[in-house]
Amino acid sequence: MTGFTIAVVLATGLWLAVYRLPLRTPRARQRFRLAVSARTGLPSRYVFPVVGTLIYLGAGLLAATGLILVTPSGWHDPLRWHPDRPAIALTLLAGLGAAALTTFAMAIIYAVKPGVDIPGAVAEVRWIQEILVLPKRLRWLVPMVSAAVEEFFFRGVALTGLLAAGASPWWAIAISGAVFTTGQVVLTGTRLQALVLGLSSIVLSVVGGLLVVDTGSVIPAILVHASFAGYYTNAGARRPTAEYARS
Amino acid sequence: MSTPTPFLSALVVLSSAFPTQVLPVGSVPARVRLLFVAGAATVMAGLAWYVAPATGVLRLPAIAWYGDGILFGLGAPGIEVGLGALWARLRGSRVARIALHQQASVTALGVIAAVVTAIAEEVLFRGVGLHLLETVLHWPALAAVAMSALVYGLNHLWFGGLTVAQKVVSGLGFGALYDLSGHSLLVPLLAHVVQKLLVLLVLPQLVKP
Repeated sequence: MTGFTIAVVLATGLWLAVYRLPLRTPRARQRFRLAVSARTGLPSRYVFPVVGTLIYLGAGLLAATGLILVTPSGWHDPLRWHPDRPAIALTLLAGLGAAALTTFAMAIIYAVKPGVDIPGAVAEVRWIQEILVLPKRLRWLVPMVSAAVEEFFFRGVALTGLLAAGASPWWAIAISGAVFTTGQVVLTGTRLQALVLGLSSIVLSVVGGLLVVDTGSVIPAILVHASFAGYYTNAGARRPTAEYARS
Repeated sequence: MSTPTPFLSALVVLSSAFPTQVLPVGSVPARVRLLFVAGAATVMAGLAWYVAPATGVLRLPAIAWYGDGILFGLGAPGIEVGLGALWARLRGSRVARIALHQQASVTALGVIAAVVTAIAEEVLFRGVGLHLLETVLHWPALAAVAMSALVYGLNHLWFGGLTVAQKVVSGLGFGALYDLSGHSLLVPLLAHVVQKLLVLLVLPQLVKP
């Protein structure tokens, strides 16, 4: 179990490093944006939402493939799902429950610090700013596809791999959830952003993890996470800043 | 469904813990807020009841428990108001008047929505949540009643800390009725509906501003 846990951490670290490190400085980002725009004709404001997302998805799928290669024997394909009425009802309940638990967590933040601007903090998360520049349909599609890849990696491969390695379901949910939450938090820029995204990541980890353990498939968790990400990226965030839209 | 019921039970309990917060209350227009809360709670209650591996929803109590449920429902508003007055006293404030309901006029639709919400809350917090904590997840009865009351109270967080405390106390009573009546939902449900009707229809006639 320890060896597979280390593999999960390494694969996640490599995924995020490929996505984040080469373009971490404003200067590098500007040069990349202009170079891609000049060669492809893509409007410069779409470069990061499109190319950045493709890098994130590609690196995620490569990390998942690498992790599948080292999964312990006994691991089975998590994409199989035979939806019957109870399974569909459970997926719907889990989706509503994830939204409700997240709203409750935000209510706790408001109760502790009444003047805090959570929608403003979410709107300032860099990748959300980038996505909100896109046309409306893509503003839903991009976060939903990204969420699907994240869910496949963390619950579909990491969690089920940990189960196959002998971890108890609670440990598997905790380890895969801790790595996922850490990965989300390091992509934020302020403490409030880290708190908000951290809490929603914990909710998704527990609800998605229990769904995978209960149904044996990652498809219900993907449906919950994708609808959650699509909704909150669009409903919770304000229009992008004028400065970013001009760039 | 391929796994032991504790994980399914934990998922149902967690997912149905905060039915009134599917959307932030502030994001729903005030004129449809009661209907939204009733609708959200009913959908969540229906789904939770359908997928839960065990519930106490359809168990019938001994006849005497109906009277106890009605009595608790009649007393619950007094307990909540008394707690508010005690809190004011502890803070050194003088209680000049008691506000029973924020709405100036209660419509028939509003009363129906409030009663439907009360029924859905009992299904969720006692018939499903408390039942699963005790019978599947094997929590001690006192801890399970306290947890279900705490979660019921926290669903009222948008109305402030005092309301949470008042609802936790009511929730302890509803949970105790459920357990003592032999895991019958009808008893706390009757108490909750009586409490709602008393607060919405009877007391406003007696306590005019």
